[in-house]
Amino acid sequence: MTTSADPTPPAAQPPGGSLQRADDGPALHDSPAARLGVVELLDRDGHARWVHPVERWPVRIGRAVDNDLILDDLHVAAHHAELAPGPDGVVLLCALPSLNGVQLGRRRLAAGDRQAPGSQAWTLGTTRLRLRLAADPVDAERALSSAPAALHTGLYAALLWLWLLARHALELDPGASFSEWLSPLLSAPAMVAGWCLAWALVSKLFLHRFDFMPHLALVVRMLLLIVLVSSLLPLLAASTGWAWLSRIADSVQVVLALVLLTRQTLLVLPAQRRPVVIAAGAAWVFGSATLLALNQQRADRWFEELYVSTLPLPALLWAPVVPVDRFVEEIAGLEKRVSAAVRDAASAAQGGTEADEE
Amino acid sequence: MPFFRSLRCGWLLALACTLPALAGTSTATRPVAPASAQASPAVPAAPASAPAAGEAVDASQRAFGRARDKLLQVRTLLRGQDSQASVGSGFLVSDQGHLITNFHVVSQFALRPAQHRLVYVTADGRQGALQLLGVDVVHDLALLRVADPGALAGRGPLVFRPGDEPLQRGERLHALGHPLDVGFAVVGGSYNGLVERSFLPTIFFGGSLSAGMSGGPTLDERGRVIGVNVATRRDGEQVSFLVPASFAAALLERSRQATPLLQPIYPQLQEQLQAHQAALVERFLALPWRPSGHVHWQVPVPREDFMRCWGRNTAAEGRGLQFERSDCAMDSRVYVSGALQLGHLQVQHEVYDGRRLGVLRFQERYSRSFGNESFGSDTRQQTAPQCHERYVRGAGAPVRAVLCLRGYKKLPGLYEMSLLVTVIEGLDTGVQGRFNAFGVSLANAQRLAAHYLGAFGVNAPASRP
Repeated sequence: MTTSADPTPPAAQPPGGSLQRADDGPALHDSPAARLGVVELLDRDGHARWVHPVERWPVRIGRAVDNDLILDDLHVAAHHAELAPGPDGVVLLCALPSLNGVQLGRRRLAAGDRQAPGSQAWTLGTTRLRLRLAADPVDAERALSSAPAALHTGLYAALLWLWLLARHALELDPGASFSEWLSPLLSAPAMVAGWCLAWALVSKLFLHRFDFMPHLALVVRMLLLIVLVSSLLPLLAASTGWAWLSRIADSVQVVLALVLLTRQTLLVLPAQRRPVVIAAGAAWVFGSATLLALNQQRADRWFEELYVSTLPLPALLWAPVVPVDRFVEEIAGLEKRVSAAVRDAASAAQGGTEADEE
Repeated sequence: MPFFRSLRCGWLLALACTLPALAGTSTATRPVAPASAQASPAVPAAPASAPAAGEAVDASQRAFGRARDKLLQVRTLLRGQDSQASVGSGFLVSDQGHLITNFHVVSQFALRPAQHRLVYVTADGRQGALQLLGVDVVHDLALLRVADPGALAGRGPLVFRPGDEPLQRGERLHALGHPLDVGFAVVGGSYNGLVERSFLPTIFFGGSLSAGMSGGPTLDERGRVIGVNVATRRDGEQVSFLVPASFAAALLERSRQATPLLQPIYPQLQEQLQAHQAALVERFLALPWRPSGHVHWQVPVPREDFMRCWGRNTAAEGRGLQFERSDCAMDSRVYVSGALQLGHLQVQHEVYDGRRLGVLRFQERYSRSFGNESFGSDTRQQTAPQCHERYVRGAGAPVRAVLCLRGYKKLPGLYEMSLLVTVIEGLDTGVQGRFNAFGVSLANAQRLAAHYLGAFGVNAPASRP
C-alpha cells in the first residue's frame, strides 16, 4: 500500500481496495451513501493526495496489512493508531503503542491517549492525515485567486515609472545628456522586475506556481503609494506647518514597505496568515522601539529629522505666520531641554574621570 | 547652503581667518622637522645679511641677554608618566616668582588638574613646579607662580612698557620663547599696529612665531614687555600676533595674591565668557546691518567693524542654480581647548537665482539647500541641538525660521545658537541665511535672533526690477 509523502503517486491500485486516489473513481466496496467520512492523506502542501473512505468504525491505521488504512512509512508502527467514536459519539483518535507516537497539533499522544482530532491534521511518522466526517460542513467554494487585471497593473506601473522619471527630471539641470537619464529609464524597471521574479521563484517553490503577475501587481501599487507618501507628506508638513507630518514620513514609508513584504509573503504562504502577520507586527514593534531608543540616546529626540527640511511653494503656505517677538519668546522653551542635557552630562562626568579635549 | 559645502571648505582653507593657536601639543612630535631645516642652507644665509642688520643683531643680543634669566619654558606634564603633554614659554613678572604665559599653554592643566602638573625650565636648566593663580581666557593669558619662590629669587621681573608710551609702527621688537622645544630663542620683528577688524585688541607682529613660543614675551628695544606671543598665521609669512601687555599687567594686578587653583577652572571660564559674550553682543547689536546690495531681497549683512566677509558666486554660464554667497565671521575666538572655541559670531547668506531652471526645479534645489544644513550633534563638549521651527513674519514676506540651541556641557548658561532663515516668497528666486552665535546666554541668543529675523525679508514691492 502506498502512501507516504512521496509525491509520485503509484500507478497500481492498492490491494486493500479501500484506499483510493483522490482523482480516481470509487473503489469496489465503496458507496457514497454509506460513507461515514474520509481519512485524507495530505501532501507537503496540505492538499489531500489520497482519500480513504470510512464505512465503519474503528479505522485502524498502521503498516501491517490487517489495518484498514495501510501506510507505507518506515516511521509508522505495524498498528499505530485507531479512529473510533467515544461514548458520546465524537470520533476519537487513539494512539496505539509505537515508537514515534502520534502528533496532534502541538500535542504528542502516547500509547493509550485519546483525543478528538476534529478537523485538525495529525501526523503518524512522517505521514500527515486528516479526518473529515460526513456530517462536517463543507467550506463554500472559493473563487480562483486571480491577479488584478494586467491592464490596471500596467497602468500603475506606468504611473510609477513616470513619477520616478519626473523626480529625476527635477533633479537634473536643464539640458542633461541622455546618459544621465539611463538610471531611472532602465534600472528602476529592471529592479522591480527582478524583485518580482525572485518572489515568483519563491512562489514556485512553495505553491508550484510562477506567480510573477500577482507580485508585480502588488509591488507597483505599493511602490506608487510609497513614493507618493514620501513626496507629499513633507510638502504637506511644510504647507501646514505640522512638523509631525514630516517627522513620521520615514516611519510611514517603513510601515508601507513592511506591509508590502507581508503581503508578498502571504501570497507565497497563504495558509500561514497568522504567523506571518504576527512576525511582521513584531518586527515593526521591535524595529521601531530600537530606532526610537537609539535616536533618543544619540540625539536626544525621538525622530531622526531635526527640522522640516522641505519648503512650501509660497502660494501653498497655509501655516500660521507669527511675529518675530513671539518666535523669539518661544525659544525659551528649548532652554529647559538643553540644560537638562547639560546637567545629565555633568552628572555623568562625575561618575568617573573623563578623557577630554583634543 | 552646505549644499555647496565642499567648495566652501576648500575656500576656507585657502583664506582661513582663524588664528591657529600655538598649542604645544603638536610640538612634542615636531622637533624633527625644524631639525632638518636647521641643516639646510638657511643657516649660512644669516651672516650674509649681517652687515645691513648689524645693529639689529646687537639689539637682539642685548634683548636676549637682559631677559635670559627671566625667561622660562612652561611644560604641562602628564601626572602619571611625566611625559610632556604641551610645552610653551613664560616670563617672570614679579620678584615673588609670578610669571605670565598663555592660557592655551596651560589649558590642559587648568581644565583637568588631577591628570597634569606644571613645571618650568630656565635657560640655565633649572626646573621646578608651578602653580596656576588666575586666567584671562578671553585674551588667552594665565598667571602662574613658582611653587618655591626661593628657587628663582634675585632674577627680577621683566617690566611692562607703560601705557602712556604708545608703540610706533615699524618699531623694532624682539619675541622670545622656546620654539618647538628646540631651545630658547629670540626672533626679531616689527610692530605693525593692531590687527584690523578684530574684536579683541591684538598686536600684529611682523615676525615669525613658532609653536612653543606661546606665552613668551615680546620686548621693545629697551627690553620692556609690549606683548605676549600668542598666534601666527600658517598661510602667511611673518604674520604673527601678540596679546597687548596691558591685559597681562591687569591679570597680574588682579590675581597676584590669589590662592593656587587646584580644581578645574570651569567656573572662572564661565564667568569670563559670560562677561565677554555680554560685551560682544552689546557691541554687535549697537551696529546697524549694512545694505546687502540686493534690489529685491532684504538680507542682514553685518558691518565689518570686527568681522570679515568673503563673497563667492557661481559661474555666470552655468546651466544650473545661480547663487551668490556671503560669509562673515570674526577672527577673534576664545580658545578653551583644542576642541572648544567660542565667543564669536558668524553670519552667512546665499541668494539664489533659479530662472534658468524653472519653478519646480528651483523649488527642489531651494528645499534641498535648506534641508542639508547641519546643526551639530552630541559631542564631548556640546549637547545635541534642540530646535524650534516656525513661519515668522519677516520684513515684507513670511520667512521660515529654524533656531537650534546647543549647550556647552562644562559651561552651563552658555549656548551655541544657530538660526536658519529662508524667505518664502519667490517662485524661482530666493534667499537663505544663517546666523551662528557661539557661547552666548539665552537672553542674548533671543536678542540676536530677533535682530536678525527682523532684518530678513523683501524690500517694498515697488522696488522690484
